[in-house]
Amino acid sequence: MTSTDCARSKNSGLARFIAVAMFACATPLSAQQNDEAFDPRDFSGNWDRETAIVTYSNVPGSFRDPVNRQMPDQGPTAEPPFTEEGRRQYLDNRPGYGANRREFERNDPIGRCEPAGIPRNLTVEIIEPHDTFEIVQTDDRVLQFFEYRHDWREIWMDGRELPAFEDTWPTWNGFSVGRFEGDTLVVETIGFDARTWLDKYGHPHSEEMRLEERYRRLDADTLELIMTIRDPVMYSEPWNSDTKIYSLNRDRHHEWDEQIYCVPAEEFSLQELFGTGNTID
Amino acid sequence: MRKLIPVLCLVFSPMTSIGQDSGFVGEWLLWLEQGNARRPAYGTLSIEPSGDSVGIYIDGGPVNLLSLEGDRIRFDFDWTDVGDREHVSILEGVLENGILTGTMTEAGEPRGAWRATPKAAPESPPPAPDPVDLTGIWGGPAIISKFSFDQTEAGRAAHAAYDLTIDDPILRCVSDGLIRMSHGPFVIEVVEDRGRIFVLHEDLHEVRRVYMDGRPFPDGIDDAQLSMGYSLGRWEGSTLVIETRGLKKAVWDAAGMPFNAGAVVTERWYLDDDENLHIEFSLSDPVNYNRPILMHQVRQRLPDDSDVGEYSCDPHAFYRGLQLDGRLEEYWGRSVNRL
Repeated sequence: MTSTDCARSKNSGLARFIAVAMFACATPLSAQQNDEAFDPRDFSGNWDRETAIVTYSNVPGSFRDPVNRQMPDQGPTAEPPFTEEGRRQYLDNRPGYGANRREFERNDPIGRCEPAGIPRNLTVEIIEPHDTFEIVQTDDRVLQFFEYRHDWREIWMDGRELPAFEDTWPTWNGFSVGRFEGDTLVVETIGFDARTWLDKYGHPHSEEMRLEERYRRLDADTLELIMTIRDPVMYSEPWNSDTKIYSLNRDRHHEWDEQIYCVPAEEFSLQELFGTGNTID
Repeated sequence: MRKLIPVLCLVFSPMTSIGQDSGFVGEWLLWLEQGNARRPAYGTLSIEPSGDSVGIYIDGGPVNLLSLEGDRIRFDFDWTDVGDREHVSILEGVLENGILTGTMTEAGEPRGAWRATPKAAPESPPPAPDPVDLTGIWGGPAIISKFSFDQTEAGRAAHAAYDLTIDDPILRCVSDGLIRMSHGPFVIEVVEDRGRIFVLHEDLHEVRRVYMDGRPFPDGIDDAQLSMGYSLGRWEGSTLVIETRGLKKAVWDAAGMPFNAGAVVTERWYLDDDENLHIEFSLSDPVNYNRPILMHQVRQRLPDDSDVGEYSCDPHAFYRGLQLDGRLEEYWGRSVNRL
C-alpha cells in the first residue's frame, strides 16, 4: 500500500474505517515520497492522523477492532521521565486506557466532554472520520481547528515573543507563538490549565509545562509533528513525543461530518467519581 | 409571570381594529435604550395587517397592542434582564417622518427610550453578488431577550420539561449551539479561506464553517445532529445570506426555548453606513413555533489586535453543586433531557 493508496482508502467509507482501525496505514509515509510540487511553508488543509499512536509518546493506540469489538494488545509502555510528583499524579489519574487503566472509577476529563486542550487535541485520538484537524494560515497566524468540541487554536506568527509565565493565566490551549527554522514550523506554548491530561493514558502536566511543536511538510501530502514537553514539576527532563504523521485529505471539504459534538458519558464518569466518596475540587 | 402572559393575551388581543394602510404596518428594526445600559439592545418589531386589524410581534413573539390613535402607538413588551428576571414594560411612541420614537416604562416608572426604523425587504430577484470584507473581530451584541412566543403545544411541553438549573448544557461547559452562542454577549472573529467563511466564537471557543462554494446541502442533513449545523452562504449584493440546517435539538436562549432537529436558520449579514455589522436572524421550527423567531443583532468592529480570548468554563463547579445539593441522582435520572 502506497501512501496515496492509503490516503484514498481512508476516503472510502467502511474501507477507510477498517483501514484505520486495523492500522493498515501505520506504515511510515516518509519512505514513499509524493513528487508533487508544494510550498513547504504552507500547512493549510485538512490533515488526517496516520500514525496508530494516539497517546503523547511511543505508546501504541488502542482502537477497538470494529468486527470483534476487542481491544488490541496495548504493548509495552515506555516510562516517561517522571518526577516523584509526576508519578504520583499519574497514578492518581484514573484513565480507561493504558498501563494505569482502571476498570472502574475513571475520571478522564473527556468523559465529561471537557476541553482536551493542547497537546491532546493534536493526537486526534477520536476515531475516524474525526481523526483530523484543519490548518488555516492568515497573514499573522496559523489557526488550527479540531473536531472535538469544534475547538480552535491560534498560533501567532507576527514575531511577538511569548509572554512571561507570570503574565499568563491557565488556559486549555495555552498561548502560542510560532516561527520558521528553515521550513520547519516551530511553535512554543505556555500558560496551560493543569486539569487537562496529555493523553488518554492519563499522563499529567502542570501549569508550568512548556510545549515545543515542530511541524515539517515531508511532501505534498505528508505532515510530520514532533513535540517536546518541558515540565519540571512532572518530568525530570525534556520528554519527546514519537513522530506523528498526518496525511492531507484533499476531499475533506466535500464531506459534511467534519464537526463532532460531544454527548458526555458523564453518568458513567461521575457516578464512579462520586461513588468512591470522592469530591471534586 | 409566564402563566400571566397568556391571560394578558386574552384580555388585550394583539389584534385590534386598525386600517391596513396604517403607516405602522411593516417590519422595523427596534432599538431599546435602557437607562443603565451602555448600548442599545436590538430586535425585530413586526406590525402586520390581519383583516381590518393588525398584529404586533417582537422577535416573532406576540405583544399586546394597548392603543393606536392617529400617529401614536402603545403596546406592552415582555423581556428578561441579564439576571433572568422577567419584566413587562410599556412602549409608547409616535410615528414621525417614517420613524417610531418613544419611551419605555414599567409600572409607571421610566425605563428608557426606544425607536424603530423601517427594515428593507430583501430584493426580488436578488441583486448580483457584490461582496464586502466582513473579516475581523466583532464585539458582542446586545439583544432584547423577549421571552413569550407563539408556541405550539409541543413547544410548550418541551419548554415546560426543561429545567434550566440542571439541563442547561452551559452548566457542563458543553456547547450551547449555534443560535444561542451567536446571541450571547461574546466576541466573534470572521476569517475567510478558500471558499469558506469561518466564525471563531469566544463563547465555548467553538468554530463554525460557512461554505461559499455553491454546494448543495448533503442528503440527510436534517439528521446530522450538529451543534453548529451545516451552513451554506451566498452573496446577494453586499449582504451575506447564510442558510443553516442539520442542527441538533437544543434550546436557543437562556430561558430554555426549544428547537428541534430539522429547524432551519437563515441569516442576513450586512454592514451599515457606520461599518457596524448587522445580523438578521430567522429560526423556522414549525414543530415548536407557529411563527418564525426573528432576531436582530448589531456588532461593532474591534481593533485587529483585540484578543478574542479563550472561554473559561469550569464544569466542576456545577457537578460539585449538584453533589452538595443532593441532586446527583436527579441529574442522572434526567439524562433523556440532556442536550
